[in-house]
Amino acid sequence: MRSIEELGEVELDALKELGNIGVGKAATSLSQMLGRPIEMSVPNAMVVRIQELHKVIDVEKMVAGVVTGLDDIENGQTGFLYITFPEESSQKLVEILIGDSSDEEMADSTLMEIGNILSSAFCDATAEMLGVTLIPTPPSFGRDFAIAVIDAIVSQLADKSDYVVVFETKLEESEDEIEILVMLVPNERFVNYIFQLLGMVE
Amino acid sequence: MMSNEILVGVGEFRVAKGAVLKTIGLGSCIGIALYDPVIKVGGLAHVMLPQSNNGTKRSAKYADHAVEMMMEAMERLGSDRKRVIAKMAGGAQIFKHMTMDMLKIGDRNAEAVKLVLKDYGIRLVSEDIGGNQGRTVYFFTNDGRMLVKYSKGGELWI
Repeated sequence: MRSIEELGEVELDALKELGNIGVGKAATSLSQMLGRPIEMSVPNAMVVRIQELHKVIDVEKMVAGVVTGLDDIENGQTGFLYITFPEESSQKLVEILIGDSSDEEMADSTLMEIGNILSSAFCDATAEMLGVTLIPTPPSFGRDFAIAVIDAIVSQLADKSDYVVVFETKLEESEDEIEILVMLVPNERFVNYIFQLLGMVE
Repeated sequence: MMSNEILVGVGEFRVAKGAVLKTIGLGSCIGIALYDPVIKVGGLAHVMLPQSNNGTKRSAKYADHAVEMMMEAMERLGSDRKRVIAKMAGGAQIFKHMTMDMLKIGDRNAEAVKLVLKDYGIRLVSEDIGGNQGRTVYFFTNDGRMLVKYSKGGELWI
């Protein structure tokens, strides 16, 4: 197994490309669901020391966050997809989809469903490229500080490495100024897919 | 913003005399503070995992290592283990809807910290553990007070 620290520029580029294809497909699904155009920002891929996560995540921002695990049928968990909706965007999204955001349970379910759709589309697209079958787990959901929502996940990864690799991009709908941040946090297994993809590992 | 404020990153620890130690956005993680009231030296760690595995590199991300490393650093500044007290906050369950059981580590983190403190004979004088909200914690090393601010509003001195 290769470790996250071994990721160089070439591998990060490959990850970026992979993330791009995955989130691109997810954006298409979301756009169909909303009946509106969705734009995707230029993505970022980086290796971050866990101690310095506060430099790349807006840690104290309040978000609604959906987390799904990415499971490879044959080999188990390969990482997580973390989808965050800033407070206002989450409200607007729910209003577009179900007309009313006052029922919190309904709003939560709607956001989880969006998470579901985004992660399924993401899994389809990346799996095709990697030649493995990825299935998203049912979503977990919370509303809190952006860092507090995922610290349980970062902790799982921290047991193996002092670094996490993060791919992130923003999905934007301009009319209502909806913003969704999609982060891919792969574990070692996913990292090895990338090395395999690049033909560096037998 | 307080002047002389020192940020403690995720999985890190800091020891100081006089400064305010701060750690942001504790979800299932735990902020452990150690304090020697006689020489007024204190430390704060942002712990992510209950227990180190055999042979892992020492790191404050583990509860057991964090207490050990912080205690050593405080002793180098003249602290005496017998006088040291502890406070802690965090260990929440942020997910309202959760499908992955392995993410329920808030409780396990809190229990692990208590066991480690007991091992060291360090008295836990106050705590604010559990619940379903994130916390940001300030530890005042000039007098040993800890301020807990909740993500959804409200604060608590412990």
